[in-house]
Amino acid sequence: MTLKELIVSLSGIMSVSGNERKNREALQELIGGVFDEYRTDALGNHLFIKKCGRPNAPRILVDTHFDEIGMMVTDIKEGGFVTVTNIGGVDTRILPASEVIIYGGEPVYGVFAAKAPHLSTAADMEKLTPLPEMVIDTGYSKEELEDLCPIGTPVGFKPIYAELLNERLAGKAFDDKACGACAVYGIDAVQRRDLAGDVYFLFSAYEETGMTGARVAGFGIRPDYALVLDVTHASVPEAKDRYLPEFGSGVAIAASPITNRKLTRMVTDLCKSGNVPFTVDACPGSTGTNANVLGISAEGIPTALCSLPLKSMHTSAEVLSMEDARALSRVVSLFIKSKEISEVFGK
Amino acid sequence: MKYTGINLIRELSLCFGPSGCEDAVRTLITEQIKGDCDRFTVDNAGNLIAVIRGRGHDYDPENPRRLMLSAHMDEVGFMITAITEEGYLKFGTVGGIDPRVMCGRHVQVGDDKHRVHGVIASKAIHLQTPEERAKTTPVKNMYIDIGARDAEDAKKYVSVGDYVVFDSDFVTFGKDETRMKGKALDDRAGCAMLIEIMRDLRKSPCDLPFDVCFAFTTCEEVGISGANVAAFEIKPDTAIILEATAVNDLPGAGRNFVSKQGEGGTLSLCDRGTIYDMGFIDYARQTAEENGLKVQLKQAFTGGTDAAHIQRSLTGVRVLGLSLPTRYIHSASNVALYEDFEQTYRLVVAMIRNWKLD
Repeated sequence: MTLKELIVSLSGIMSVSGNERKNREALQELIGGVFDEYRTDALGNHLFIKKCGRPNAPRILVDTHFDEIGMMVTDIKEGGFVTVTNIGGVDTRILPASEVIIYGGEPVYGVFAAKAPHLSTAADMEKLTPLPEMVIDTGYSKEELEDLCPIGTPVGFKPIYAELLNERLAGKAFDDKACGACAVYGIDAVQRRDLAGDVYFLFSAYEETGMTGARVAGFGIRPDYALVLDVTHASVPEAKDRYLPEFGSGVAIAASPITNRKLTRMVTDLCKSGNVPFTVDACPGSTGTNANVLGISAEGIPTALCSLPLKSMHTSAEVLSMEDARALSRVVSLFIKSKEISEVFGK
Repeated sequence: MKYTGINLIRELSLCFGPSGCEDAVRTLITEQIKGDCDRFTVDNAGNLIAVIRGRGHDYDPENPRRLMLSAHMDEVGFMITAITEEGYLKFGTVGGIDPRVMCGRHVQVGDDKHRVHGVIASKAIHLQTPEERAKTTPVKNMYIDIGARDAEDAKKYVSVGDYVVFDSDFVTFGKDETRMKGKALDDRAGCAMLIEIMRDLRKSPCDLPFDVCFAFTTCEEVGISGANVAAFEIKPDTAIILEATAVNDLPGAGRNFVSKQGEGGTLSLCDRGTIYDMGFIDYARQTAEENGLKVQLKQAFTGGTDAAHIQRSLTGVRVLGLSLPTRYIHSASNVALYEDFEQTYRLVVAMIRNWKLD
C-alpha cells in the first residue's frame, strides 16, 4: 500500500470522537502488521508497539490522534429527518446540501437539507442556519429511524476523496489520520536494528474534544520523549496576515512554550542533515494539539511537534499535499532512528 | 412497481452541461433518442428538437397541429472569472445558486471535453472571526482550489471563461431505495421524462392528432432561454414544460411547503414569468383522476420556467407547467422520488394518448 492509499484508507474509517473503539478491527487490519504489539486502555486509545529488541531500551512515543470531528443524532423528526449536534469544531458553512453517513446498526445515507434559492430572500442567504436548526434528509420514517439510528448515533461526512493537480488530495478527516498514515509509513520504513528505542505509536482518542486520550496515554506509557504529529493551517489567501506555513513547504516544526526547545532543535537538525523540507511554525500560545498535554503528563514528557500544512481544516474537503506528507513520514523515520536524541533524552 | 430507467437519469445527472455548454448533454440525449423519433435537428441556439409525427383521422398532414414538450438541458454552475497569483480560481455563478451550498463542495472545472477536479475552498473555522462565523461567506471571497502551485501552473489546465459544475455522484437511497440524489436533476429529470414519453409513444403507437415535438433546450437557468428559438421553429399550438421544481416539505416549514414529495407531479398555477392555462390545468387533473395517477398543485408562485418564453412566442401558445417535486435544487444534492418521476411522465403520456383539451 502506498502512503497515499494508506492516508485515504485510514481517513475513511469513521472515528468521530467517542467512537474510537468501534472500528478497531479495520484499524488493526490496516496497520497492525507493522507492529509487534497492540494495547488499548480505559479511554479507547490505540497503542501499537514496535520493539527494537534490546532490553531496557528508551521508549519513544509517536502520537497522532485517531478521532475526527463529526456529529451525533439529537432528535428524529416526522418525515425521516434527523437533527444533530457537533462533536468537535464542525464548520457549519459546508453542511447545507452535503452528504453524510449516520453510523447506526446499518449505515444510513443522508443529505443536509438546503432551501432552494427560489424560496429564499437575499437576506436569508447571508445568514447561516445554526446547526441545531438544520435537518438531515434520510428517506426513512421516524419509526424506522428510531430503530436504525437512535439518539446518540454518530454521524460523519460521507468519505469523498479526490486527487487534485500536483498530488494534492481533497477529502475528510486528514486531521489527523493523514498524519497517522505518515507515522505508520515512517515507522515501517525503519529496520528493527536501526531503531533508537522501542517505538510506541499512539493513535489517541478524544483529541478534538479536549486532548483527553493523549493525557492518560502519556501517563500510562511513560515515554522518555515524544513526537506529536498533527495538522496545521496552511497559508491561504484570506489569512495572509497570520503568517501560516506555506502549503507544499514540507514539515512545519512548531516553536512553542510547551514543546521542548532542545528536542525541537534536534528535530530541526535532523531535517537539515536529512534534506527534509521544513518551516518553523511559531505557536506563541497553545499549540492546539496533544503536545499541550503530553508536555505536562506524568513527570513531563520532552515533546516536539511536527505538523502537516492543511487547507480547509474541519471540512469534508480538507486539502493536503503529498510532498508535505512524504516529508512528515521521513521526519518520523529520522526521529525514531536518532541516536543523538536517544543519548540526550533516553534513560 | 419499481422504476427501471434509473441508469438514464444517472447518466443525465452526471453529464457536464452548464448553461451555454450543453454539448455533452445533447450528445448523450441524441444517442438515446435517435432510434425513437421520426426526425431530429439541432438549431442555432443549441436546442435539440425531435419529432414523432401524428397519424389517424384527426391528423392533418398538410397543416399539422403541434404539441411541444420541453425540458432544458442546462444546469446551474459557475464560470472562472480570474486566476489569482497563488493559482486559485475566482468565479461567478451561472444561474441562481445560494452561497450557502457552495463551500466545501467538489467541482469539475473545464468544458465538455477537458476537466480538472477542484474544491470550493473556505477559510477554516479556527481562522474565522466571530462575525465571520455567523455569516455566509460572500461568493466574491470564495475560490476554487485545483491543486495548482501558482498562476502559471493553473493556466496550463484552466482559463478564464472555463465552466464549473458540482461534482456529485448519483445515489439511490432511503427505505427500499426509493429516492435519488444527484446534481442537475433540474432539469435532467425533465429530459429523462421526455425520453421516456417518446419511448412509450414509440413502443405502442396510437393515433395522434398532432406532431409531438420534443425540445431539449439550452440556457434556461440564465433566463435567456433557448426555448424562444425552439418555439419559433416548432410553432406549437400547445406546450407542456417538464421541470424539476423546488419543494420545501421539511420539518417546521408549516404552510410554506410549496408541494410535497410522494404526491406526484406538481402543476404550476402561476410563477414569476407565467400565468398558466387554467383549462389545460383542469385537463391534466382530470386525466390524472381518470388514470389513477397522482398530481398536485404548486402552492407557491416563485421561480419561473421556459413557459414564460413559449407562451408569448408567435401568436401565443397554451402552456402547462408540470414538475418533479425536488428538494435542494440548485445545489450538489438534489433529492427526488422515483415514484414521483414515474407519476409525472405517465400523466403526460395519458394526456397525449387520449387528447381531449378543449
